[in-house]
Amino acid sequence: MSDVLSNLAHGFSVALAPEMLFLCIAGATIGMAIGVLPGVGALATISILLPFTFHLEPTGAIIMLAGIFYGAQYGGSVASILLNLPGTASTAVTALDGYPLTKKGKAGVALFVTTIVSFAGGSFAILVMIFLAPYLASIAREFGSTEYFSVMLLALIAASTLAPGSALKGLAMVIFGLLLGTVGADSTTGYYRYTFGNLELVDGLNLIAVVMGLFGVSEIIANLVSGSDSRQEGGTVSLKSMIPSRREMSRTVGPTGRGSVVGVIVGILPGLGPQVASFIAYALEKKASKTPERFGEGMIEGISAPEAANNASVQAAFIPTLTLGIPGDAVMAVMVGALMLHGILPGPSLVVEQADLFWGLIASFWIGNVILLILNIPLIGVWLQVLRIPYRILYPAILMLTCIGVYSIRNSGFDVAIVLIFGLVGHGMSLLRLPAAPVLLGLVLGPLFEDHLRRALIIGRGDPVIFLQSPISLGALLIAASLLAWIGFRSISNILSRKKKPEGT
Amino acid sequence: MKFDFLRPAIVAAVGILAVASSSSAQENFPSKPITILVGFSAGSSTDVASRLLADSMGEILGERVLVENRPGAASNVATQAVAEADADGYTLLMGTVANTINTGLKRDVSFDFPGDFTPVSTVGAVPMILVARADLGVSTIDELLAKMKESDDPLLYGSAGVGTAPHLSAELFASSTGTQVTHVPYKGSGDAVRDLAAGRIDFVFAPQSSALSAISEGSIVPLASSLLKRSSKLPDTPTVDETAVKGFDTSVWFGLVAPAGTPETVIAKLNDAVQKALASETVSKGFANSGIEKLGGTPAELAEYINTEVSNWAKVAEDANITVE
Repeated sequence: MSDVLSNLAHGFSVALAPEMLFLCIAGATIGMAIGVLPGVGALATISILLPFTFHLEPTGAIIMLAGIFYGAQYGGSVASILLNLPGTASTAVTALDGYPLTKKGKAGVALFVTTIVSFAGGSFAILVMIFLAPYLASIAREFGSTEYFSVMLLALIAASTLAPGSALKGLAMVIFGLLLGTVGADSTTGYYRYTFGNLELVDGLNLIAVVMGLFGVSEIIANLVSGSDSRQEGGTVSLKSMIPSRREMSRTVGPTGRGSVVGVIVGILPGLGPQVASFIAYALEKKASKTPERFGEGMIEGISAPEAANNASVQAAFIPTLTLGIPGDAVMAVMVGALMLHGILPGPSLVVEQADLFWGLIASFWIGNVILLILNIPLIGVWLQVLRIPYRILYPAILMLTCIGVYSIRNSGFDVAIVLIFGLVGHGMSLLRLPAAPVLLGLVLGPLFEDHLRRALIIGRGDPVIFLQSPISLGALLIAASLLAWIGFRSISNILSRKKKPEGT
Repeated sequence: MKFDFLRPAIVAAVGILAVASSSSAQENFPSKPITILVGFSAGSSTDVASRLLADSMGEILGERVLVENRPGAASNVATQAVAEADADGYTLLMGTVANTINTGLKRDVSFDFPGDFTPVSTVGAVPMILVARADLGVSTIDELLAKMKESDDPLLYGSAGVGTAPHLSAELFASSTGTQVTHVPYKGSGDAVRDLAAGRIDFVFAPQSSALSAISEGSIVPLASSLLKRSSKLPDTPTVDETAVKGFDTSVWFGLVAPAGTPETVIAKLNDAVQKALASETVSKGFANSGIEKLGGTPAELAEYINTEVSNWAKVAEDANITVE
């Protein structure tokens, strides 16, 4: 314990040196700014800035790159709450209840809450990292394809009731998402599926392009079709109107705690990413809530849980990256690349041999999060002004930013076309009252699901018994089965009680 | 508005200048930023090497050299873009082992690699390390071969995916040694090494950059390296060539290529810049730290290397009966 504290104190002495402090602030601020821009991701920014780090000291380099990564999570929710324009799949979950809050005139409160819970989620993950990193890292090892498959199955069942309204429509849209997820090269055989000779489709549909089409562009089309400016007048924005009431604040505590725990667990497991954390946290909150039917209408709980989860998960993602040398996603792979360039090998020895770097980085996380908190609160007032911009100016600007953002992900004009196509698909879906979030769920989980199932079966030499032999997998399958049984039981008892009281609906 | 009448005159003037300068354009090369397209996402060895090289080439040429990631379809998206680009030396491709494998696998694409390209210079190579899980109980390649032969079920090997250098290297190894293996594809070598360290699969041909961390930790055992020369990072590990399979020589290599028809003087300037950049301290150190072996050489050497690679991989794919269509 005292060891940890003295290490941490040492870390702060590293991270508070003027140069490090500057790099930390610069990274976090750049990250937040690009996070606000729809579609412009941390990955594109970090790769552009990578050459600058060739000439930096490795600790400073990684502090700055990390700042961009977690900073982007803070900015990401702004556009999804205000304009229903999520820049990533994880903030699409925040939009589910965030945008209805804006429509109710509570955008200020929503932004305030997301800033606070982002800070709470991030801080929780940092605490976990300080005290438990070495123990938690080994959890990542326990998860093979068998375990991933069963946990994905559980997540898919648990989250299938994600969207409000008809369960059947929700299920149909999950399946639509799963089908979209089959586009691209078959990872087991290398055959191209549904690519129609287009090389851009070989790696599958670009998730972010689909998100921006289904949510943002379809929202713009819907507003153009209705032709009227349906928004509430922003009015004057005082600090008071942004501060949530005591009741609203107390409603965020439980979701934030649960979301943070979900985020840390998902963050530690390589390959899942913040979007899976957001989906699971939202689904869990809905299950835990006494009023699940009100999710999607602007519940504070519905923005707190996923925002805490995605911030916790990006911080926790550093645990396997630094202590095992396992990069969990593309951004982490760049971080590992940047470290190796300077001759530093991430792995178990890093914590001991590069104590300056490890503890300095952790200290910088906290400094960065505090700076982001301080920066974001006053900015809420600025963001709210966006709502007062007339549609005729706002929409062309958003469309342009969307195109630039999506193009920047992998310099692909084709992806911009995908945004447009899914904008039309999304508009068609909203006319038919089909929910969009389950499509994303299917598209995010589907490819993971398929890969892990097939890989687990190859490793198990074709015998499905392997799913029952691993305790983690068996546990997840049992929970999934009981969840299904519970859903079935509930719907049967609903039908029965309806028969008894035909007058009630 | 009121300058509209000037527009035809400006267009004409620019046109005349363009014609007049086209011959001197080659001498003035480069007069605008050069872009190197990379077919893999940021953080990959190819990307890191390209960015280090571009940074240094920029200083040497006095013009910025940019790196643009165009990931997709095992680098075919980037390759197609460069095949269709102007042959003026301003758009280049960091060609890799993936290009020669794609050609060997006979993927249906609209361009011809290497036919639509002019080589500039080989840049570097990352050796693959044949690594086994720690609890397999083997410490040499001969022990692995013995294990492969006595095992009832074929051993499981992981790779970065179908049609990648780690996949085909393992198939080449199996067919050269007359052993049976079962392929477990992953999304990238990092995932394969993680499962290997956890003991779920038996061995992997992993690019050195992905394997070093787990090797130093002791959770996987290095048996051999895949280049003809031993890896400078693992000098005590023998090569496959000196132990089990004579002439075994595979790697994740990369070299700069330009669209076919790029003027020779431009290619010569670029080649010169690559050699100078490779000799610079930043690139040497960055490559060494990242586990990339520095190469370099003449355009003709790269051309010959590419041809050998294409025919080798085509043979491996045929022997292992790998079809992707």
